[in-house]
Amino acid sequence: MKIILILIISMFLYADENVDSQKVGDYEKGRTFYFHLFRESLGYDGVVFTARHKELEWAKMFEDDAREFKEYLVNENSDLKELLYSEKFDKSIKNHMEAFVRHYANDTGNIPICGSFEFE
Amino acid sequence: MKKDSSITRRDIIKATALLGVTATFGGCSLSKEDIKRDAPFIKKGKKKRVVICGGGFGGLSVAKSLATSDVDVEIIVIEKRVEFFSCPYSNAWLGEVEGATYQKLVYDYFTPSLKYGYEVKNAEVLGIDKKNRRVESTIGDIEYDYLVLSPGIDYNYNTLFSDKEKQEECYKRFPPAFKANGEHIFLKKSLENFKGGTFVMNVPSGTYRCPPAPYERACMIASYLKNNNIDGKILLLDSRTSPAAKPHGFLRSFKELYSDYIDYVPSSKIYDIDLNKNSVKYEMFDKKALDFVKKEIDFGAANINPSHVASKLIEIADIKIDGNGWALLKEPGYISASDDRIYVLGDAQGEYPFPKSGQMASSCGYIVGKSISSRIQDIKFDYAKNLPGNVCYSLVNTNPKEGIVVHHSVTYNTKDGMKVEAIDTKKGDQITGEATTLWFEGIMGDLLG
Repeated sequence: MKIILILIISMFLYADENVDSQKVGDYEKGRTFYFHLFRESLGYDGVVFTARHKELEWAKMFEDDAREFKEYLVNENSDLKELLYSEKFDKSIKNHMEAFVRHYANDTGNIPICGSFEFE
Repeated sequence: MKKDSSITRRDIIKATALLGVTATFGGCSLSKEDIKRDAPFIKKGKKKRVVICGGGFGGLSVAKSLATSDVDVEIIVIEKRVEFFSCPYSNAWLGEVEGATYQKLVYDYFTPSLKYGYEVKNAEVLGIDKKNRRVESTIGDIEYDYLVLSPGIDYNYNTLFSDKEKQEECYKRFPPAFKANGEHIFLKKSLENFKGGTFVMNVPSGTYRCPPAPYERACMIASYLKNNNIDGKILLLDSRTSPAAKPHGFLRSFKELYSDYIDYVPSSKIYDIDLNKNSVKYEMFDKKALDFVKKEIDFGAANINPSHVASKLIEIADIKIDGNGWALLKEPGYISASDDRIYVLGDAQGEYPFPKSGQMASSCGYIVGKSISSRIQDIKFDYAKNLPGNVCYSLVNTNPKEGIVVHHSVTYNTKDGMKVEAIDTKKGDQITGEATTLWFEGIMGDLLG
């Protein structure tokens, strides 16, 4: 019984360290996607964009398949509609974008500095 | 008999700590109590005592600032290394810039200690008893009135790959060379043994120590390859879309000086390494596909850089930190957000968007020294009127010696907080190359005599 318990705990620990980045999101990939796909259309850099909201506010926008986030960006620039409602966004970009905006949200203390993305 | 055995074990770890060769991974099974037993209690006298953990640019600047102030204070610097090694300018040694010898990077602690009148104790910090204001160290408990933590960084390999054995092996075979000084010696040997092919380097993810260092290092290695007619190329992988510091100057140098020697790949990231084959797997952003694609490449030499985190000492101190482990401070000063007697500066702080550079640590160190001096004299200190600044030089060519520079100015107001503005040069030139050497000699002379 003890061994089974240890094995189960180990599996959880292992799973935690090997989480699929597509599911959890990689904020650095999100930063790259923002830079190449959104920055020009929105007209401001990632520092300004991510600092618009608190982490929980961003998290809420990504609920329900990022419904609110998509609406938010389409309101800013309707040209982004095609990308935001594409399969590619849902499959390859969404989770990384969520990680990115949450990482640099204005209440996280993660400040972009020399060594981050302020000069991009 | 038991006591003898205990002493022997304690002596071993003390010696290990004194030599500064404590393993980066794993650790010794001896407990803090094992090490502390019989260690003396270094009680303070009537004078106020400031204990500074970390004898780097930040810590030594605090020590000098206090020692040269008009306040009568006892200053103890605790440093685990027996000598000071400068990471700044080490790339010049790597690239064989004329006059940049290893000896120029290494300094003793006796000289500044005698010159300025502070004490340097060669020891490792084991714990901090905040209630009784004591630093628990391998040479005993040291009482303090004010404690300054300037401990620098540690590495976090989890952002590269999760396999712990691979992390350990990767550190041993391809040390990052962001800490003194064996890692730098090993990197130099790797370059000297490199016969050609691909030299893989990556820029650390997230916030890291000395942002221009990897790009400067790539330039210095490329220059070495060029000067020695080695048929090799550097693959420089960077998760950012452009260099983290001095982007104009570095990108121009890569293009104009090293188009045959440096392949700079922005928006790319190592996710695995095969230590048997000597190959790395990485992802890079494909601008045509607008998505990440996976690649693998064999290498002849490598400099693999994990992410940086605040030194373990910040965790030991159990003070307030941000989500990434960097210490939080009471704005606009350097006092810990959770302990009024503890100051944090240098790379370990995460409150302000300051570049993690030796010069910035030194600039903040002088401010902390002045503020503690004022505090002891019961004089109000205005941090908003005592802001740090930074100038950061990087060499981009060895022959002729050319450099680029960035200046950081800091502003503060209660509404916007601490803001940093950067102005960088767009192209390397020889005047800046010479200024790089002069800056280095200046700061070394100032702090280490």
